[in-house]
Order: sequence, then C-alpha cells, then structure tokens
Amino acid sequence: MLPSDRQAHEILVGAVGLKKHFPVKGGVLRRTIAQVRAVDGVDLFVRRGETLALVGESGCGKTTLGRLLLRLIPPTSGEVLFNVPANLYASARDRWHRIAQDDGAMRSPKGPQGDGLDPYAITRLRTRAFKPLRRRMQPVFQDPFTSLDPRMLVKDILAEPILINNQMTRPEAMERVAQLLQEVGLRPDHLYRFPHEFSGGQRQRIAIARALAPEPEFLLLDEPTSALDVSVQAQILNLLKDIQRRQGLTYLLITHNLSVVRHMADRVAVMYLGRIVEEAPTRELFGSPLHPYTKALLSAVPVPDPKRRREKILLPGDVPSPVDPPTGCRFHTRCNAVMPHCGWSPRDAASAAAYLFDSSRNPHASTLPALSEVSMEGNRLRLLFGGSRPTEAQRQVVADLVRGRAAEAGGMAFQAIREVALAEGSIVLEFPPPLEPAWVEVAPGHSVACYLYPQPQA
Amino acid sequence: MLSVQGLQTEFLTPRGVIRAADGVDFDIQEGEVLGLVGESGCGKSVTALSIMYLIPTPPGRIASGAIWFRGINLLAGSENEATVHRGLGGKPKLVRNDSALRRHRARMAKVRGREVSMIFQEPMSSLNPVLPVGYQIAEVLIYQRRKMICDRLLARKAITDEDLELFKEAVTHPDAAQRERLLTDFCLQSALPVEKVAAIIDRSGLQMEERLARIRRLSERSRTRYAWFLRLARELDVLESEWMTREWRVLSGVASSEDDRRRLAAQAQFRSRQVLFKLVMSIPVLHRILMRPIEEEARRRVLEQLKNVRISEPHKVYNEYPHELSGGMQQRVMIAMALACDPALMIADEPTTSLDVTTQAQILTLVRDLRERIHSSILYITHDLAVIAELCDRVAVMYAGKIVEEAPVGDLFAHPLHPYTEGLLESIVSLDKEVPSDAPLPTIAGTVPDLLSPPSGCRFHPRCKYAFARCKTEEPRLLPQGDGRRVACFLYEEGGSRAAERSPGA
Repeated sequence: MLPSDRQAHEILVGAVGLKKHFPVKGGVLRRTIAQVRAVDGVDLFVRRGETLALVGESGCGKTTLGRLLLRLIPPTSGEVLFNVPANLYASARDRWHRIAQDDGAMRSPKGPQGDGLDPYAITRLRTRAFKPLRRRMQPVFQDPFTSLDPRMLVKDILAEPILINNQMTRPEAMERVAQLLQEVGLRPDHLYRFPHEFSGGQRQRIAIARALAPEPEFLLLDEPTSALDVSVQAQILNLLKDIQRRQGLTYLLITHNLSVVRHMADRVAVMYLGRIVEEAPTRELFGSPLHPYTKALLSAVPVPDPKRRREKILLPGDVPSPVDPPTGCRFHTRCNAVMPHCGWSPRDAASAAAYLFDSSRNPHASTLPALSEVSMEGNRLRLLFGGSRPTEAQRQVVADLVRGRAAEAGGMAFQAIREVALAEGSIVLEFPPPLEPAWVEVAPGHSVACYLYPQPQA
Repeated sequence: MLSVQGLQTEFLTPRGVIRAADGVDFDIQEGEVLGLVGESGCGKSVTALSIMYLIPTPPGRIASGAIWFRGINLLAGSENEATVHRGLGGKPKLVRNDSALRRHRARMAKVRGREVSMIFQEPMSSLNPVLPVGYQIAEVLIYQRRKMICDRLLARKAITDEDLELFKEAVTHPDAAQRERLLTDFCLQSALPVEKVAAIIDRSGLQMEERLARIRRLSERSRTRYAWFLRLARELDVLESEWMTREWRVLSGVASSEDDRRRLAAQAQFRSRQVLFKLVMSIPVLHRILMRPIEEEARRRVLEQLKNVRISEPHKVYNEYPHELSGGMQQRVMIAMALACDPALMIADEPTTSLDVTTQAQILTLVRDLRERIHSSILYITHDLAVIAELCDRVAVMYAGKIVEEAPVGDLFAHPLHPYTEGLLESIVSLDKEVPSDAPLPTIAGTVPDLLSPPSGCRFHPRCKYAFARCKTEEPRLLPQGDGRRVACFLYEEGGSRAAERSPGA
C-alpha cells in the first residue's frame, strides 16, 4: 500500500504529461510503421469530491485517457499520481515539462526515483504493488449490454469485486450485495437473475452497483448514459448524483453530450485529438466558452424547442487521423477563427499548389514551365519544373501567385508562407516552424490553448 | 400519402405472444416529416419494419391492419402467409405459407428501395463490408431504375460545345473538390466513362487542346452499342412495373375490370420477353459486355447522389469500403442510397443516435436541406425529442406498442397533453434548462412494461401520476382533440378532468 493512504490529499487523481501511442504494424515483418497518438501530452487533475467532465468527439482519446488514469493500460510516457497534495502536483507538472523539453523521447520512470513523488505515482508501481489500489478506483462503461457477463447471476457479478479484494467473507459479501442493490434502486429479488433479463437502464444500475462494491473513492464514468433512452438517462444521472452526495465520491465523467455535463460536472475539460484544449469550471465554460472548438461543440447540441433555433457552427469534415495529426494547433484545419500563425504546414497547401503553379490548368501561371512535382520536406514545399532550372523571373511569378492566393478566401495556408526561394534547381516555399499554442490561464481555473488569447512571451 | 391503420405486429416467443405494435394508427401527408418518438422497446422500429415488410417470419408476423400507400394496400395479399396453429399442449406455433410469402416478397421488392426506403441506425452494420460503397448504391439503381438508365443511354447525343466548356472548367477550377464535382456533372451530361475522363483531367502537364482532343476521341469510341439490348431491358422494366402496379391494385380491392385485363396482358408479355433476356444473361461473357454501359450510367448517377449528400470527393469515396469511412460519412452514404431512386417515403430509424453531436448537427442540417430539394415524405424515428424539435412537422408519441399522442410539433412542445409526453419532455436534459444543481432531474417513475403481459387498461397507468380508477380497467382510444391533435387519455375524454378546461376556449 502507498504511504499516502493514511492521509486524504486534495488532488485525488492527477496526470502529468501523459501520452499513449499505439503502434501500427505493417509490412511482411509486422514492423511498426506509424504511431496512433491517442493521448498526446495531457495534464489533468481531479480534486477530491468533485466531478470533472471530459468532453470531445469520438476518436479524440477520451476513453484512452480514462483507461490510462486507472492504469488499465500502461502509458507511453508521463505519470499518473493518486491522492497527492496540490502543491506537489503543481511542482511535478512543472518539472516534467522542463525535463520533457530537454529530452524529447522521455519514458515513464519505473521504480522509485527518490524525487518525493514515489508515494503517489501509481505508474511507477509494479503490478502486484498496484493491486490494492485497484479497488479504490472503479470504472462504469458505456454499454451495459456488453460490460456485464451474460453467464453470471447479478449476485455473483456484484460479489466478485468484493471477494477478489479479500474485503469480506462470502456471507458478509452477500449482505453487502443486497444493500448495494437497494442503493442503486433495484429490488432484492433481482439478485437471482441474469443480466439479459433487465432493461438498459437497469443494467446500467447493476454496472454502477458493481463499481461501488469495493468501496472506491474514484469512479470513471465512461459515457454512462449514451446507450440509454432520454427518460432513463435522467434517472441514471440522478442516481449518480445521489450516490456522490451520500458517499463523497470523485467522478471523472467522459461524455460527448454537453447537456449531461451541465448537470453533473463541477469542472469541464475539452479534448481534441489527444490534447486538452480548454478547461474551466462548468458555469464559466457554458457561459463564456473561449476555444472555437468548445463553441462549435456547444452550438451543435440540438435544442428541444421547435420555436427557437440556435445559430449552428458546423465543423467541416471529420476529426483528422491521430496517426498524423495536423501541425501547430491541431484544430486549425477545421477552425472557423483560424489565423495565418495557427500552424499551417506544407501539407495544407500541397493540393492547392499542384493547381496554382500548373501552367496547363491555371491561366495566370502560363509563363511558368510545366510543373512536374510538388513535394514536402519538413516545413518546406518544393516545386520541381520538368527539365529546366527555374529562373529569378519565375521565382517572382511564383511569389506573386502566392500573394494573390493568400488574399483570396481559403488562402490562409498561403498567408503563412514566409519566403519563396530558389534552391537546388527548384523553387521552395518556406513555412514557419509549427508551434503549438501555449496553455494560458485566462481567468482563475479557466485555461485554454488557442492563439486567439494572449500568449506568454517566450 | 401513407396511412397506417390498426397495424398489429406480433412475435411468437417460447414465453408467449409479444404484440410489439398493437393497433398503430397514423398518416403521413405528401412532403411531410413525421417524427415517431418513444422509449426503446415501445415498437417504433417494429412499426418501421412492418411498413417495409422486413419483419422476420418466424417468429414475427403482421397479424392485422392495413398500410395504404399511394392508393395501394401494402399488406394486401399477405394475410395467409403465416398462420398461428395450436401445437402440442396448446402452445401457439407459427406456420408459414411459403409460396404466398415468396409472391408477396417479390411484389414488395419492387416497392422497397424504389418507393419506400429506409436508413438504419448503425450505418456500419447495414453496409456490406466487402463491397465498395459506391457499388452498393449503384446496385439499387441497376435493379430498380433500369428504365431511366436505358432511356438516358438510348437518348445519348454526340458531345456538344457546351459539354466541352464544362470539361474546360473541370480542368481549370482552382478548388480540387469543386473540380471533382464538375467532373461528375460533365460525365453525367456526356455519358462518358468516369474513370477515363478522370484520368484525362488529372494528368498534369497536358495542354488544353490535347485534353480536348482526347475527350473527343473518347466520345467517338464510346457511342451507344447494343441498342437492341437496352430496348429489351427497358421494355422488360416497363412491363414488370405495369404488371406489379395492376396486381397491387387488384389485391388491394380497388381495381377496375380494365386493371385486371391489363395485368394479365402485361404479365404474359413480360414472361415471353423474359425468355430472351434470361438466355442472354446466362452467358457470362455476354452478360458482362451488355451490362457494362448500364453499370457505367448507374455509376455516374451514384456520383451525383454522393455529391448531393455533400461528400466532397465523390469519385474517391465511390471506391472505398465502409470501414474506411467515418461514422458521419457512412451515414451520408446510407442517405445517398436511400435517396438513390427518389422514393416517395423515406424511413429514418434513429440515423444519428450512434453519432457525435457535431456529426449529428451535420447530418440534421443535411436532412433539413434535402427536404427542400427532394419531394419525399420522411418518417423520422428517434427517442431524442430535441432532434424532433429541430426537424419534424408533426410528432406521434408511442408507448408500449400504441400511439398515445399525435400533434403538430409546436403544439406538442408548448402543451403536451398525454402525461407520458409531459414526462418525456420534462426528463430531457437540456443545455438551456436551468435546474438547480442539487435538485434531481425530473423523471418518469418506473420502467417500460413487459409487452408479454402489458398492464390492463391504459398501458401507462402504473407510471402515471394522474391515473384514476377508470385507467386500470378501460383502454382509452386515440380521439381527436381539435386543431389536428389526437390523444389517447381519459383525462381528455367525456367526464375527464381536463376535458372541460380545454374544450370551449382553448
């Protein structure tokens, strides 16, 4: 057991620089050919007794982050701290970022490090040493149809976590199970039934009872109501709030439904493509959302009133692939408030360039020789013209075309181009090195990562 | 346009008979969007599947009722398909009449997808994982719209200057997605093979004259051949349609003697023509050569459909497999498939439930825009009243296999009549509804009843806060309540406590 058990500290669960990359295997030798950056550098903390909501579209890494916090999967890098004093968490976070800047390929430390965090870091524990902690953090999953064993009776489902943790003898456990059922609003005669005999809402109640069985302090609620009907959803939310009030539990609520967040959460963290983009107290986030992504999410929630229509911000396209996320601010490809310095890269301009500098397509480019290739190298876009070395006059034409395109609608990527140069028998368009927006605290407890808000001086 | 009357669909299970839809009544007007709301297990989907005649038999069967669709009864002639017999020990057993079932399914196959189409909840599981999505849509057209395709192919003219202008624009347009759309338009107008035109457009470093010359040559090479076959295929389609329509009318009992005569004539003609068609089709080489132009034309139509549902690169998406598309894109493909044949009625069964809020907003906007353009009526099934508020004209609320309330959408949200509707509306968790953080959300007590043994009287009475003695014994009927509303509740009937307050002034 961790020495920290003797005391209850302010922050129950804290993540520092947490990353999870899943390898993509391919080829004959099944070698790793790419990394899915599901969670890519997340700092997050949950205070004791509060509900933190984690919001985002599917595929943004919410569920992976939840699993990392419970140590159901090992992180690629970063640490998870459990039951830690607030000042220690803050210093751990600062130090992690200092080290991470020096050494890009950092891994999670294993075993004691002697840096004062050993009593709190659950990612440093060996599996066996971690086991007693498992009962203190429990998950409730999205789909109650698949998360309950269809061959077990309800009483066995509920007794298993108690018995596994050697908390009670079997007869005691049975008493506790009956009491648990009552707590979640089911009847004692439901004990001797199988999960398939229940409706969706009742099954979710059983899943909640199972999570409560080993008397945890922290519950991970992974989309607990999204598989349920609207009317049942309200019942389950009431139940969760009720239990929290009675037992002083801490919740991490993962969801994509913002109306649920409004009723349940004290604080909200908005996630996009593996990163947290905004974090704020609930009232403030709904009152004055800052990040354009948060605004779009809020506007997309349907209004249950035919007379009123909310002005919708429709995000174009889908979430980009986390295998190769956009450079700079990850949201810039879909953002409606995007600016030239949001992190545009050659990738965003390549397809337009193939048209813009092709003399056979674009009448304004008729003085250029035939375009043979457009290639990307780091933050440079290289234009090769068939056979001939480009001249200074042609460079000027290309620069004019870039300027013209930048002035048009949708030419934001071209506005970002810093320089048009002649190099190695080709014309090179140079982009600024992509930087991610800094994490700025705009108001107490309200932080956002977006270039719209004043960035700290480097 | 569609009128469902007293629809009863039941499932025979080892535990007994489950009436999933028990006397469902509703109408949909031309061009209207009707929302069907209810909790899961209340029979919404079963109602939709009954209209499509997709109820699995056994264990299900449509016990009684009528579905009138544009003057024909879609259930006519299906009465004797599955009958309940008493088996051993008095247990009910479903016996199928296979030949009747087959005949009815053949008739329905010409309505389903063509006149009535459906979008399902899980796009991933309703698309075929081993076929490219474009081909799956094209299949619908090849099967259901052969006449239109053959007409277009037979009417093909030589390429005009107007077409060439379009082609020029498709080459020079600055936006790649827009170029792709122009390519689709050009191929549809000139009836040239998409792949080959795309190759000419995408080739970089070619001068415009060279491109135009290649297009001209392509157009000369691909003039209409085998016109006799196209005419044959067209005639078969026409005859079959006539035969089927007349047969539907005869079965529905609305036929004149003229109908009967013409049906027999069309049937006989169809059978005689079909011999040649089947003979030709039975030779694989001929089949491939002759069907190629039809498939090409279907492909061009599909690209246009994909464009209509705002897929930005239809040409690329055509060849992709379902797993390569995101949930929102898959649902767009499903919508394109449902709309491929310009159906008169589109049934959408929870099309956005498995999607994100942002994608849901995209799809809802798309459906709302399509509404203006297409002329289909839509039956929109969902459990989310917020979606209904955004999209529908009228709402029918369903509970335990019955419609309990039906009203125009504004009235329903302003003054719900049935206690169940009231409860549903209260229990919505909404962004705009200010609920004090420590007060519990209002809910409807209890759960949906087991349809195996539904409660006596009004099925909602065990959960209803206004229930009184009459509710337990008598079943309320769905009665009109003025201004286009209907409700099944004793509160509003003769002697009910709320009847008086609503009747004169309200």
